[in-house]
This record gives sequence, C-alpha cells and structure tokens, in this order.
Amino acid sequence: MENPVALNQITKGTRGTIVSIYTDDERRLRKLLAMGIYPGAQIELLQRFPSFIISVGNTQIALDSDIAAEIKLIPSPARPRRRRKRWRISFSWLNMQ
Amino acid sequence: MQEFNTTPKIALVGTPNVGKSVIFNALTGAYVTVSNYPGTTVEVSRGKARLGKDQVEVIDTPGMYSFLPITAEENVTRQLLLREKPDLVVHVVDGKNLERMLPLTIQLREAGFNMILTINMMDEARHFGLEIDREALSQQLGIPVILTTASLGEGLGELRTTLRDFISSEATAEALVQYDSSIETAISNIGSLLEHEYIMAKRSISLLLLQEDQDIQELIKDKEPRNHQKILGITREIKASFNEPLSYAISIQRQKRIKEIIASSVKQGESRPLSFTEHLSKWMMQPLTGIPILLFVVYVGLFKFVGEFGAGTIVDFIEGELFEERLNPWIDSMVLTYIPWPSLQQLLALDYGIFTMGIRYAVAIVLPIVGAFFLFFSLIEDSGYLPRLAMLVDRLFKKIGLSGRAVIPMTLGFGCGTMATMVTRTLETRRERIISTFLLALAVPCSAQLGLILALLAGTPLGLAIWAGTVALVFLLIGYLTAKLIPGEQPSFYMELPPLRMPKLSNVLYKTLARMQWYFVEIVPLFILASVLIWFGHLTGGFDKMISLLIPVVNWLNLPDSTAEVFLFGFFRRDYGAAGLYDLAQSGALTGLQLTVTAVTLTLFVPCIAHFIVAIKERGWKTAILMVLFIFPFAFLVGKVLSTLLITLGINF
Ligand SMILES: Nc1nc2c(ncn2[C@@H]2O[C@H](COP(=O)(O)OP(=O)(O)O)[C@@H](O)[C@H]2O)c(=O)[nH]1
Repeated sequence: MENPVALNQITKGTRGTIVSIYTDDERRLRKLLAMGIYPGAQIELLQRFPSFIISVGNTQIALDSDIAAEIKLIPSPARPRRRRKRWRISFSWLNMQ
Repeated sequence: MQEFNTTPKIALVGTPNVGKSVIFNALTGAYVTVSNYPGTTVEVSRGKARLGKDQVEVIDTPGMYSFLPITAEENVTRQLLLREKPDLVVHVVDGKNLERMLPLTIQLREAGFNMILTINMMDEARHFGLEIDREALSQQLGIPVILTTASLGEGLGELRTTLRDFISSEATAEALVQYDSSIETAISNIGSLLEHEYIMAKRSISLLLLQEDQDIQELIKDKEPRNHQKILGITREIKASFNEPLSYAISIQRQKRIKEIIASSVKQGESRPLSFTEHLSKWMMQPLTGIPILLFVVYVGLFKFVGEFGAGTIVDFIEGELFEERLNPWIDSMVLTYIPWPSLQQLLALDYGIFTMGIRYAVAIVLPIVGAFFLFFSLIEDSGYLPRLAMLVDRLFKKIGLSGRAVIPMTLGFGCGTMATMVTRTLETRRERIISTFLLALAVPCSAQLGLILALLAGTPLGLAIWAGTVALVFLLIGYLTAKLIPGEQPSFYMELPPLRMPKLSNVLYKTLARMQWYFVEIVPLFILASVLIWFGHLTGGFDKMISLLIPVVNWLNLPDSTAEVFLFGFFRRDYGAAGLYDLAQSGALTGLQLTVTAVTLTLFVPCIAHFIVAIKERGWKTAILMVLFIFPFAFLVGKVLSTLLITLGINF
C-alpha cells in the first residue's frame, strides 16, 4: 500500500481514498464531514487551479489550498484509460455541433 | 383558540439546495409568510396546505447539514423542531448524494421524530445511474420513503398521500447505529442519569452531550440539577480515551453503517456520458475559458440587459412617454388648478414634488433597472453559476481578505447594496463581514446607479473605461489595504458545486418578484421621505444653503455648480443622485470628462440612507460611522485626483 499524501500534493485526475483530515478547527472538520469528506470516502481530484475541485460520490466540491493540505489520502493505482475515454467523449460532442 | 392547537404541523428539513422550497411551494401555494425566527435573523417560511379535507401548516426550515448545529441556520432549525414539535418531519434529500444525506436521517431517527424520507432530484440520480430500492431502504430506516423530482412535479401526489397517512402516527425513536462499545456504554450511563422528560429520545441527548453540544449542555444544567456533574464526568472520561474529537469518531461510525444500508438498497449502474452542461460546467471553472465566459455573462447580463434594455429602453418608455409627457403635466395642472397654496403645490408636484419627482424616480427610473437586475441575478442563481464564480475568484478575493463565498453578496451588491449588506451575514468570519460591508458601501455601484451610469457614459466609451477602471482599482486597492489593516484569520473556502441546471422559469420569476416587492416596499417610502426633505429644505432655505456649501467642493473637482445638487440628492439615495445626474446630462450641462468625474465620485460616495441604516443594523454604529467618515472625503479625493490627472494629461472629451 502506498503512503498517504496530502490532497494538494497529487496531480489532477488522481483518485484515492481519504484516510485522515488534520485540522485544528473543529467546526470546519464537521462541515467537511457533512459535505461527504470523511475517512473512507473515495474521491477524484478534478482541478487544481484556481481552486481545488474534487468529486466525492456524485458531487463536486471546491476547496482552497489550505484545506486541501489538510486532507490526506491514499491514491489508488492509476487508471490510464479513463483519460483517453474522456477526450473521446468531448470530441464526439464537438462533432455533433 | 382550540383551532390553533389542533392545526397539525409538518416541517421540511434538509441541507440547502435539495429542493425544499420547490416542495414547499408545491404543497402550500399562496399565503406564505416569511419571517425571522424569534431572536435571530434567520428566515423561516410558513404556509398552509390542504391534505384531503384537513388543513395543515407547513414549515420550510433553514438548511441543516447535521443535527449537531454549527451555523445559525442549523441552530434555528433544531430549536424549531424542539419547540414547535411538528407532527411530522419530512427529511428532503438529494437522491444522487444519499451517502452524505443519510447521516441526518439517522440523527433525526435517533432523536425520535415521526418522520418520512423524501428522496428528491431523482432525475439527476437516474442520470448518474443510481437505482434506489425504496422498499429495502424504507425497511432499513423504519420510515416511509418517497421518490420525487420536485421540479417536474414527479412523485408529489404520492408525497401528499403519504403525508396524510402518516401525519398522526406515533413518534418512535430507533437506534439505527451501534457505536463502538465504549461510546455505547457512555450513552447508556448518561441515559440512566437523565431524570427529566425530554422531547428528544435520551439516546440522542446522550450522543449530543458526548459531542459537547453547548445548547444541550445548558439544557442539562437546567433540568438535571442532581446528576449534572456526574454526566459531565462521564463525558470527560470518554473524551480522554479518544485521540480525535468524539464528534469525528461518531460520524465515522455512523458513516460506516450508512455504507451498509446503501450497499443493500442502492445499485450503482452505468453512468451516462458527460452531458453538455457538465462540459459547460468544466469550462466555467477553468480560468482560460472561465474568464471569457464571465466577461460574456457580465457583458450580456449587466451591460446589454440591465444597462441598455432596463436603463435605456424601458426607462425611456416609462419615464419619457408615460411620466414626462402624460402623467406629470397632468398632475402639475391638477395641482395648480385645485390647490391654492404654492408650498403645498411644491410638496406634491412641480420640480421636487412627491409625485413628480419622488414617485417618478422610484417607479420610472429605479424600479425598471432594479427589476432587470433581479431577473438577471435570479437567472444565474437558479442555474448554479454562482458557486462556480465563487471558486473562480477565490484566489483573487483572498488578497482582499475575503473568500470566494463573498462573491454572492458582492454580485448582489450590483443590484442593491442594501440587500447585499444583509446577505453579508452568511459569511463565516466577522472580518469578512466587515470588509465586504465596507467595500459594498464604497465601491460597488447598485444597479440603479450602474444602469444610469452605463446609459450616460455609453456615448463616451473612454469615459466608461476610465470610470470602470478607477472604481475597480479602488475596490482592489482599498480591499487590499483594509485586509492588511483589520486583524483576524484568513477566511477558508469550501463550497459544494451543484450541477448546472436549466433555470426554472417559475422559480426565477418568483424570486425576481419577491426581490422587487421587497425593494418596492423598502424604497418607495424613502423616495417619498426624500422628496419631503428636499421640499422642506427648499421651503426653509436650508437646501440652498447646503448646495452653496457643496459648490466650492464640486468646483474643486472642476465641476460646474449644478452638480452640487446631484451630490446632495446622493445623500438621500445613491440611485437618486444618479437619477439627478441623468436629468443634468439630458440638459447637456456637462462635458464627457466632467460626467466621468461625477460618475466616479458618485459611485464611491456615501451609500444611500437605506444602505446606511442596514449597515448600522448589521455591523453596529461604530463600524458604520467609521466607514462613512472614511468614504465621504475619500470619494471627493479620488474625484479630485482623477480630474487633475486627466486635465494634466490633456485628456479632454
Ligand atoms: N434537477 C432537479 N432540480 C431540482 C429538483 N428539485 C429542485 N430542483 C432545483 O434545485 C435548486 C434548489 O432548490 P430549492 O428548492 O431552492 O432548494 P432548498 O435550498 O432546499 O430550498 C433549484 O434550482 C430547483 O429548481 C429536482 O427534483 N430535480
């Protein structure tokens, strides 16, 4: 198993399982839990700039980099095919136009 | 009296944006009252609904994520549930996010409400390939489960029937989760010490105490004089045996149980390929495509729709055709014919009369512009664009001490600064609330001003560019300095991005009309008051005196004497001042440069009376007065610098 890394350290497109949230602000922790960001949740990092965007379940959540640094996850093995598939979808949409 | 007690109550509960209001509106129709919950500034809507032959009261509660409250909204909702004891609680959830919605269902079950679960947004859940076995889910949770797509009216008939069937059921509490054994022991130990009869089940109270819920701690102190200390002791003891906060441990164990429940009742099928809106959503959030989209939205929405259409076409029609040509001459002649006293004639009509100026400004100039803006704002609000805008600007906003979340009051400020100042409440830190209130008062022009300024400067693109550039610069620079000056933590930013949706026409119109109605009720009295004050000022000569005091100031900015009157109107309402400027420009008294300098100064200038009053209410006397004391000289100073700079550079137009 790989070591946990912070969300702000991984590249776009990485998927993984959250293992911990380190924050000294308990209110923030509870809000994150309520938004579905809790240890055990599967996420994918969709975007890094200007804010971090992750998908959790069927929802997308935007976070700033401070919070992203507090979330640690274990990346799942890369799945290279997914990326190509996504491009194909977007091109097929363009062709339809 | 008796009827009062017997009208059954239904409360809609759930996180924000799950469709509660749509369901509420579908159930209740007309006769809705929105009021602040006693002692708070959080709004609660109530309405009546018919179920068969019985009438019930339906309450749309403020958004709640967890039964352990963090925000003021959550606090109000919990208090409401405990004080008003609704006969039935309807937990409304988003079908595509069951995993994160069910914790609240479980907490409400633990507390022991008579409840049903409404899984809404089933259209989107199906899009993601989710199949929900409602029988299985209903068995696991021990309550009825209804599937709805509220925006299309799907499932609402069944919801009504279920409400009718279950409204008089007994409330039952059920422990759906077995927590780890040390927590369970603490729960039963605390439970056995509780002697008072509570509305919530004892298990729920014990759990909240373990998570250090302050309201419940107060309650216990009051109701359990004998065992209070012992209960605190148990809490302390177990807390010491965990490394992380107990609320964290408890939610994780709850979440585990939810995974099991979902595994046995929800199937994840193939999700469909990304739809057009999902692509659009991505483009909106990447700077390279997102910024052009933002500029496009601003251009079409603000410039074309609010500026050209609202402030141009519609104002020209209502103000020019209706008022100037028909209504005003008629009112003037009526007043001159039937009212013999000149001072009363002036109060009602002629140049500064209540009808000919106050109402004309309110109805013919301001309302169409504000209405156009509110329509635009409701459209982008309902489409889900605002959260995307928030994530796009978060980095920039951090530089001025705000988080992306502040983009919502700031955007609304382009409609009405008064309303926007009220909305700054939703920001998380005091520092953010102060900075945004200040910037709203200083550098965000409201739509009435904006519309008129866009209309006035449309003929001089250079003037428009200078105006926009100066105001934007002031916004960023003063924001930056204020953020440096005011101590406090950097705000954090996290926000859910709901899917982009086609705005729902009825929803958009409803929101627009509600906002326009609020505006109308708020402003018309103030416009009338302003007319009366100006009339009084004229009558006593005080007005002329103030104008003569202002003349040197405007001359200092190289502006003609006639602009002094415009600034004085600006005291009464910002938009009022802008409307005065409109009259002045129509008569051709100003050069392009003078118009630009006046527009800049007027934009920065003190907020209108209503805005000022709300700023005092929200931020307190001291802060509000300090802001005005800064803004007043600063606005003129910027005007002076700009005017001198342009003249020195030989830019004349
Ligand atoms: N796709 C879809 N959208 C919905 C549904 N129900 C509500 N909405 C939309 O979701 C948004 C939030 O709804 P609203 O009733 O304001 O949520 P509230 O915050 O819970 O009161 C609005 O834009 C609604 O039009 C639904 O069943 N399906």
